[in-house]
Amino acid sequence: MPEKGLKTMIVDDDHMFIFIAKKMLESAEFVKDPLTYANGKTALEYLEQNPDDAEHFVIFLDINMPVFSGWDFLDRVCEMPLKDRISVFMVTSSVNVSDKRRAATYPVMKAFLEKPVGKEKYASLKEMEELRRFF
Amino acid sequence: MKLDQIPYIILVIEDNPGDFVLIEDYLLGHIASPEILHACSFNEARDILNEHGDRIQTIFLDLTLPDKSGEDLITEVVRMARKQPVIVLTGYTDASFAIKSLTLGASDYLLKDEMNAITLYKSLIYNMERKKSLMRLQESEQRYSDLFHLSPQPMWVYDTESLRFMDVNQAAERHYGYTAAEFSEMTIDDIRPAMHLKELHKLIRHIRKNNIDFSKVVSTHRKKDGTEITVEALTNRIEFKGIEARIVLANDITEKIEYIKAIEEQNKKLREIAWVQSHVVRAPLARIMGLVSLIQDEAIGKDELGVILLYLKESAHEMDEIVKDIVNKSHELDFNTDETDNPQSRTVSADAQKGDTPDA
Repeated sequence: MPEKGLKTMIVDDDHMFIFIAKKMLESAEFVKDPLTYANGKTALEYLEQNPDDAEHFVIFLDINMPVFSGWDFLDRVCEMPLKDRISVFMVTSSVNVSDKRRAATYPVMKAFLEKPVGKEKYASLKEMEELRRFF
Repeated sequence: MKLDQIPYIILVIEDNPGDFVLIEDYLLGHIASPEILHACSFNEARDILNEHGDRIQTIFLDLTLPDKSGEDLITEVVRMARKQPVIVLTGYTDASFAIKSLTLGASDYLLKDEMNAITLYKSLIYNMERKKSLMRLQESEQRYSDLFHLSPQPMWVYDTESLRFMDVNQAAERHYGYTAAEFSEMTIDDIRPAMHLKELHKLIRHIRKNNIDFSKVVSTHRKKDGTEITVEALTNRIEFKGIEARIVLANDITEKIEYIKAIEEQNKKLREIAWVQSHVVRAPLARIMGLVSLIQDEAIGKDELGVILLYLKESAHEMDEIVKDIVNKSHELDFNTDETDNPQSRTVSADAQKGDTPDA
């Protein structure tokens, strides 16, 4: 039986962005201590080993990461039974039309965000259908 | 009967005075005021022709003169009379020769014993007109020959069956390095690199089978010195000297292609730079924007402020490096189109400096 509540993960190789995101998320009253991962592999491992840590997982995912990219991460997540309890928000410093189109093919992908993601943006996510009940 | 009012200028080369008077009378029977010049010998005729030149409109020539006769006489007079018809006057004994005189360039012949005023006059008028027509035709032929031979683009005609060169122009000789004489011994295979022959023959078969008239083909040609050039050949079907042939205009586009390649290469680099600019630059920029928002909107402790300022500095430096990199890459592109020791790029810049050369 999964634990109640929402778990938030930030997957990004840019430690400065993680610093900013944590502060913004806290300020938006989205989450106080998000889990942070510098690469997709360790994030996947966590999910595989702790699928019941929460009712729903929110993942802020950077597209351009070396070695294991955001796309590789998404591919693997879609193979997991856990996928119905996951909302992924892809984050990028520069929006590419082809990236947007590709992202739309993943049902776990809920929105495409452009860096810098501001406090207001994070706050607006709380209104989303899948997440509303947690706030 | 009304007399012809045109003041024809006629040279009669006749040594027999009786015959001359007869001719004169006949002419005056139909022409009001002709100017009749009389020569009794070849030398006299030559002097008169030198003096009067193109004023003279027709020449009547007796076949036997004291100082010249026969073939020699006709050939000489015809040569001197470039714009005038030469009408031969002959007696029965020379009748068969008279016909030969036509092949030597005489315009017409009249048998003196069968001649009368009417036939003489008719012959005059008819031959003058005919000569004018012939000259117009020659001029026209020369004009079209010049269009081919003096065309600034290499052109040639080849026999579709044997592939032999039937005619080439001066530009083709200059460009490919072969003389017209050498070309006449060659086929179009000889100006291609060996490995392209199969494709060439396939194309020729296709053109013949489908009765194609106009065609444009880009292929590799080979000059006499072995240099390979890229040629855009415009060809058309033509019947030449009764033989099925094709006429070809060869446009050497080797330089143009090199130039286009250089531009495409440069465009590719520019696109890369633009991509880099948008994606790579934006990463640190987004960070800076986020950090500034933090300082503005959030309650930040003193230590945290220090960290944020450090991050700002690092991100700004990162951006600086990227911008420098872009500037360097752009300079590399400029460098390639300047005069360098690369002969290829020298060609590119030389063309750019020459400006547009008109295309054929």
